[in-house]
Amino acid sequence: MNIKQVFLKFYQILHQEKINEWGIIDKQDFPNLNFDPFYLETKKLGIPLEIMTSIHLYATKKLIKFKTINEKSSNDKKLQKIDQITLAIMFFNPLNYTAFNWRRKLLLARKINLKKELKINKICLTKDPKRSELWIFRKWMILNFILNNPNDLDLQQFILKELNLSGYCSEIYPRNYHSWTYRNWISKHLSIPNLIHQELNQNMKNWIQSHVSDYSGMNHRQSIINWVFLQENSSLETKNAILIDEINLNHNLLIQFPEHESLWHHRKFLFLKFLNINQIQFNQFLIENQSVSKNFDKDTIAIYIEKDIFNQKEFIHLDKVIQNEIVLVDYCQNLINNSQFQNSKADLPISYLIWVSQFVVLKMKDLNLIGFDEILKLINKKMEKFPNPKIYWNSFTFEKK
Amino acid sequence: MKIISAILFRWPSDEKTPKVLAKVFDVSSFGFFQRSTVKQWAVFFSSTIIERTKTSQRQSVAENDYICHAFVRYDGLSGAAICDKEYPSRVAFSFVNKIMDDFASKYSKVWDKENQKFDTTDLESDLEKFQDPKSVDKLTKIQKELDETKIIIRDTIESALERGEKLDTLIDRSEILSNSSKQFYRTAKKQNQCCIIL
Repeated sequence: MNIKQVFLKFYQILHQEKINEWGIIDKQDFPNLNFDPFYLETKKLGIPLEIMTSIHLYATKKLIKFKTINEKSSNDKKLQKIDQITLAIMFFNPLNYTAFNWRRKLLLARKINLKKELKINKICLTKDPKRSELWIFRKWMILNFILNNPNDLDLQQFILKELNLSGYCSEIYPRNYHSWTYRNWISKHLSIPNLIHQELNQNMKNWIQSHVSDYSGMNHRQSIINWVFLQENSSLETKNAILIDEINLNHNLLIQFPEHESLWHHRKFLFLKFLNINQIQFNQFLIENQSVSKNFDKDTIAIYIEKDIFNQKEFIHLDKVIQNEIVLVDYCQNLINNSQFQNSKADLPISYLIWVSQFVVLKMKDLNLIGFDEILKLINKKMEKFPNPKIYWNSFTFEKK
Repeated sequence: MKIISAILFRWPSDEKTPKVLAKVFDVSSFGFFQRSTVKQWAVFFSSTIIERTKTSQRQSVAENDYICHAFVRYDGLSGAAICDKEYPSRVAFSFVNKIMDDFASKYSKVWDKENQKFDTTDLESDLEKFQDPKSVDKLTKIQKELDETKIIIRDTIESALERGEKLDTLIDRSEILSNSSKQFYRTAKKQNQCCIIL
């Protein structure tokens, strides 16, 4: 087969066959496989390295000749050639912006099919999930054609499929900045009930539980929560319900995996959010020395919130919140200390507790609530068991009133 | 959190290098065309670590995003599981213990004899079960304290190598890795990138 035939066959395969993944193959490693000149089986397209370079070279040379063509005035035959050429270049060298821009022009002039283009983009992403140009092109297509004409297809279903794509790319390449930003952008186009149900409860819950130290997932949850809270029609009750679910999830993960820093950072965000959206009450005399309980009850967090019947407002009992945090930190720190697998993250729970106490004292000063001493005494008692963090403790300063 | 591979070796004290008895993989989280390279690398990593683990010793060696948990038993039966960094080490070692005990009892008189092909269906089902550490943790908590053997924890393969040994030479001489894997490792190192497979 000469190079032109290979090039045309490549175009034909992409348009006619069902493919869900492609990759580059070194022929030496697979002496038993059938190359014709491509390997195509069970929807996987394998392209030998030599063929890839020759197609790419051929296509780039040809593209230069089409410099002066205008997509609106040319005949269809020439445009079809450009379609073939730019497709090959886009596949093998996404850095070639000329090819991308040509494809944009062809799409705008309706010379190539949008759905096919989205599928091809998806195939490219399976091999290069980190290529920003591919993600940008995808976003451009969706912005210009789909979000503007929502009547053509079921928008919510379409977005859910896009979320699956982003999830797949994040799985192949962890902490993939582009796929997470894309996920962030597109999930905000879901309707709010769908967003909460699908994103927070269905899709991402499993992800969080199986990727405990991947902070990108938690960051995504945080931005979804922030976005939902910004919507005007969300009541305090729904906000608190979402937060409590999230806190419970975080809680359950922490007692299994206390040495993962990302979980503690996520908890800081949740703690801040919880205090910021609710009014706070603090009962000094309710601070008691609670014994460490190993049975964590989901409903204990719910009792922090109480409704003020006269003013129809909800407020939280800060003292109970702090007590729960202390109990959690105590449990986690003991888990870490008693494990055979000691490492440098051993002080994470205690550092979290210090952060809590610093923040809480500042907040109480802001609201003119009294009771710093009680909190500090209680925390101090717990700290005595864990000698190391005295280093952090020294940095803690506050003014006694 | 996932387990990538579980490999059992035979390594009696009178032999130079450990021999693979049975191996199972779960490479579903890798791209289709990377899977064979990943499997090769898993076998290479596991056998390199087992070779540098003393009898009745446990070792956990990390390399990039993965950790190899290895255990060499007193009688030469050894097991190595490669997991990612999130998979809890305690459960990983319980997994290695379990597959070794099951294998030894199933093939008690046979595993230390010369080359045989062993059935891997039990290994595969155990690997699948243990991919969810939460569900198996209740079983393994009964076995809370792994016997008194201290576990050596290392941050890189290099720290597990003996003095004078270099990872580059080991890779070059390896019979397990194909030419393209070796080439890939060399170019990735030159460009100062971390290997995408690892």
